[in-house]
Amino acid sequence: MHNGEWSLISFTLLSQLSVGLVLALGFMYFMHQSFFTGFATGLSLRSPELIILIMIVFATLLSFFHLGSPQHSYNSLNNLQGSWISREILALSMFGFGMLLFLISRSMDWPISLSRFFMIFSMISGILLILAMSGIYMIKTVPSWNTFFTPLSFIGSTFLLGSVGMVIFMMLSGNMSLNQKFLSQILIFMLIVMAVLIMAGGFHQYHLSQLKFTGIEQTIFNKGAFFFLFIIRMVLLFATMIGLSYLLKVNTQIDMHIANIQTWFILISLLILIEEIMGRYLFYISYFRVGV
Amino acid sequence: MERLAFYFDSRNCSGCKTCQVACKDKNDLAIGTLWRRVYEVSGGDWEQKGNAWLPHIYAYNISLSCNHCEEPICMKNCPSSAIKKREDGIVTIDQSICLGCKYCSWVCPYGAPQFNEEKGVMGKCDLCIDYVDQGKNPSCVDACPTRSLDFGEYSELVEKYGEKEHIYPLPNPEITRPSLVINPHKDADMDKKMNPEVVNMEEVKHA
Repeated sequence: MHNGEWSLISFTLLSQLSVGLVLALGFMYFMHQSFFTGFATGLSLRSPELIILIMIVFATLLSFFHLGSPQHSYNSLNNLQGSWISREILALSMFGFGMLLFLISRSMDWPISLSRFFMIFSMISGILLILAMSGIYMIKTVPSWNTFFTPLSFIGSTFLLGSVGMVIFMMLSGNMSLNQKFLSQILIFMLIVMAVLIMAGGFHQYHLSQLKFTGIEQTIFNKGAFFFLFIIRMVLLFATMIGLSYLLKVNTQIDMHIANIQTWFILISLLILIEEIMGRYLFYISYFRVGV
Repeated sequence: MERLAFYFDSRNCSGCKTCQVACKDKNDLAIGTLWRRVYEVSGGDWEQKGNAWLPHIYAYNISLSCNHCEEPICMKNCPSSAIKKREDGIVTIDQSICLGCKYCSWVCPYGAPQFNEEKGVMGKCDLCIDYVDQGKNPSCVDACPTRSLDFGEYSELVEKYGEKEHIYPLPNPEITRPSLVINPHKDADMDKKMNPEVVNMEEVKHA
């Protein structure tokens, strides 16, 4: 794997985290308005839209490290008709722009209908961003990536990172809406997503081991360092699921205070982050092209 | 519409790599960059005939550059539209707008586009476009001492040499419809599948 691909790994994960956060935020904005009122607005570092915006800008800057000629990046939208990269950049721009307008509309007390429109716009752009991101890797000459597991794992990561990010953000910002019932719902959702990721990871590994090599480089997926990393990631995923199940059990106890499980949740979130970085790294090194 | 193409005769090629050197010299390529590569393929197995086991081994070469495909997957996917196709079928890279994102090198099944570290952009065989415009042959074609390479209009090359099956290690030609006519080596029959292997990987990737 080339060094430049670490910037792609960081960009992909940060984008997925941002989109996941916006989807979670939008869900709360439209379904649980009372929860949302606990958040700060404007340029406060406790404002979720500002944090997301900073992450989008940071992710965009990271993606420049992958380019050989970043000074030519203004040409990146030239091929919207055929290139998924062009579409991804358009979706990313729309996503960032939507979040910026949402931030302004809330801090300037613009009519609520406008804020709602900007939130819906950001959510749709975010979904398009993840789909475009998946499209980039669905290359017909790269059989290891050109599978249903690519979009599935990207969407799964978005939901998982978004849920983790939202809970941490609510904990750290002291949002009082984070009650036991809400936390339990999120924990169950995360467990379901992780189960899907484990199954997708297993099936993808099986798909890789069954690939018929028509290229000149005979990559081995079912033994060696690649397989070892895959096993470690699976172990991490199972360990995280056990940890989340334990938190879910503790969280249902009467008189349980959220503060008691904050540290545990943050530790489990770190495991999820490590597992996600490993997953993305494995994805990139599984690149295998037909031909020469 | 014209469709300029290469012809390669795997039966005649001695693997001397003069084509590779001529290309490198003409385009002043850096170490590690080869717009034309010669792949050395070898393989074989034992065959039982009666009570005897006979070795069946073979070796052949494939000289390969950009094939200026009829459906260039690199051009379709280039975000900046830096990859363009001329009326005569030559696929070129406009380095003044290339981002250097390397996506074309991910998708091309012939490994044609290569990253130029010095310029930060992609480069590849342009069929010696300046020579072609002057009515000359590409440098690799004229340099080949065994006349294993030829160049011209695709339909004329097919008429002259016949349209042959693409051999290992080339991908399925249906993917990009390469403008390449090959006369395969007599032992490069894909049906035999006698464990073919490219044996000069280090050389083609890093020379």
